[in-house]
Amino acid sequence: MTTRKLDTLQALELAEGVEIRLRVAGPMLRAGAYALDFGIRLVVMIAASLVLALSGIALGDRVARGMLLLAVFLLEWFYPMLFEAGKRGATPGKRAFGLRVVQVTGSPLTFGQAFVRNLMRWVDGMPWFTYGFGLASCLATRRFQRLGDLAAGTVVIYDRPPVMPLPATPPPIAPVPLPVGLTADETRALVLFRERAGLWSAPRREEIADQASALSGASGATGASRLMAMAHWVQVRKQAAAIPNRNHARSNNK
Amino acid sequence: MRLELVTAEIRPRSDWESVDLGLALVRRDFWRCLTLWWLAMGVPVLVAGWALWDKPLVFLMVFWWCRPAGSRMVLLQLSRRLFGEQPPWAAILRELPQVWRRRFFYRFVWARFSPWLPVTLPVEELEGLRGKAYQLRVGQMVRRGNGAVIWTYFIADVAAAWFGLAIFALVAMLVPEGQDAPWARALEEWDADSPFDIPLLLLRTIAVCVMVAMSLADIFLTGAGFGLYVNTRTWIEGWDVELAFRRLGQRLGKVAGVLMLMICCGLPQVMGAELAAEAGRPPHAVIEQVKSQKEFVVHKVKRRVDKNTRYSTGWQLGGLLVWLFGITAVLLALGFIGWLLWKSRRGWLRLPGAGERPARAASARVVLGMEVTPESLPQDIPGVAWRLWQQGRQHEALGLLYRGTISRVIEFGRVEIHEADTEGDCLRRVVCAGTAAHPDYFRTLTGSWIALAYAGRPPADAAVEGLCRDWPFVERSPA
Repeated sequence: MTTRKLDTLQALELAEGVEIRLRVAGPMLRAGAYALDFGIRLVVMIAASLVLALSGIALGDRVARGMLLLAVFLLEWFYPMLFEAGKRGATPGKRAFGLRVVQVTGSPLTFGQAFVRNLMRWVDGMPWFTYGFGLASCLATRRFQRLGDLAAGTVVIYDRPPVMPLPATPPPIAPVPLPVGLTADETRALVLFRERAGLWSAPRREEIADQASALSGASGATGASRLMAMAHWVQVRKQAAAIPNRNHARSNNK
Repeated sequence: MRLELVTAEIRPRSDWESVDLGLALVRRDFWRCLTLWWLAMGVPVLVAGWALWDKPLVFLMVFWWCRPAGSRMVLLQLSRRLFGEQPPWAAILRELPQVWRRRFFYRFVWARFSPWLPVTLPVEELEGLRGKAYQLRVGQMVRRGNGAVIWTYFIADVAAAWFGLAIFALVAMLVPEGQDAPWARALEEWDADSPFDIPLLLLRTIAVCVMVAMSLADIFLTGAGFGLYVNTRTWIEGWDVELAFRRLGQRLGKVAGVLMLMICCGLPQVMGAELAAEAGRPPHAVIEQVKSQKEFVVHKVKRRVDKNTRYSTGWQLGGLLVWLFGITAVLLALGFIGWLLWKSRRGWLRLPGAGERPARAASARVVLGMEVTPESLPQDIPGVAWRLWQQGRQHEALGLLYRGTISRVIEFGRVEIHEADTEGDCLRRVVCAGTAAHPDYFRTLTGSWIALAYAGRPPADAAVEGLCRDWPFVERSPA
């Protein structure tokens, strides 16, 4: 294929040839996270204004009002900044939705980046308060970056491993060694075939297995079960070798 | 469908990642999707726009109702493009009437409110299933990513409204200064007393903004639904594994000779080694021996499963949600129709008095002890007042002018004046009512009247002549 395929993952090559894939998050969950953050800020503001209204009796009306304005300013501008520059790289809303802000290189955010990113919120929020510019930018860029992300060189990623349903797999079979060497991707596909086989009907399983009949040397049900046996062999070997930490061919998008 | 031509990375994703894939698919073909969407909606927009030019809200409603036609067109583009084919314009034009005709009743009436629309639409469009097969397939498809599907459906309308606001704000920001006179006038006409009588120009502007917003929201969320659909199929049909195996097969095909050799020589050896222990006995005896062990006792368990508990509670909740939503939607639709009928009852019932606006009840008949009903006043108030002034009956003249003005202000300026109001109250109400009540004139007149009535200081003749000459209210039959 000459053109690059469309993908939501962002592949990055780190030092020593290690490849990681960032699971870049789109606007839908981010909007949810924003709404939650907004709610949290609102609750904090209401609480603060109640406290200040009471203390206003002692402090005087104008002092209390000034402190309230100061609180609004600090909360609006520094709430996302401090949280995102922190260890988890996410505001409480983002954390609740399993999101996290990182640099485009995948490393944690610096304070400067968090500052720029959230300073640009003002521009992203236009027109009025609708976040129209931010959304448009988010939908128009390959890595779902709003203008603040573009300026600071950051992306929002999914932080939590996705839930993968693990259906009951057929019981272990006598392992059959692979007749030829396979690449990491191919081995992974073989293992996935076994793990997900429980999701597919038997004819579909055979249909898929027929594509790799060159490997199994058989078609139909025989081919499918032989592929499973090979997958089992791979898994048994992997388990045996897993005790010393092997750091190659670990798939990061699982 | 040729899986090897796919132009997006196929892998099992989480629900929201698949939504993102859908958004990315739309982004790649954004302009084409937008064009196709408007192409599909073009004819009804023109027809409905022509017929409902003066009822932008009803027009918007109709437009919203027709939205699946546009979604179908976007789906055509996205699905073809996913498998590496750009649909030619001829095919698109052939499809154009089809997006309206195909299963019209089901898609536009029966299932219009189905919150699974983002996924059922691809099932219906791309797999062409009907009836029982369709039901089964949909049941299978929504088992995964159910929450994301329903969210996608509900967010479509919220997003349309929100984008509408954003576009409206953008337009408001970008209209050059001085060019916004028609809108400023419309805003001024917008009466605070009847906030639902929104001026037509404003309504039309809002309708256009929301239409554009709806198209944007719909193409992106149709894409999101398509992403969910592709993801579900990837899961339950193992597309990614099939693709990987296909590539594997192609690679191994090149070294097929070597492989055959391996299979012929290598495999039997491996198998042979395992079987060596069992050598010497006939195979069927070994099989019998193995099968007689207790692991091979066949247990049979029969369990009767209630048909209704086939799905998880999520499904039941979802069903309840749909049911509630459907009922609400039907009630709303009925209410809306009822409201329309009630609004236009004069038109279609031909009630007596059709076409006649009910006279607005004057808010007060007596103000400051003076009668202000139109019947109690002469036809030509300023003329009569000026004549009285010239005869020296100053109190009567200014009094007539003042109460005439109040009467007209109530009638034409729609000012609510109560019987207990003082002159100051009247003035305040008139000022609040805006230009239609001529507050400047009223202020001058009130000043003169108060000076004469309470301080006994008559205004100059010229001032009174001016007041009579500048009488701002148009008389029904000028004398």
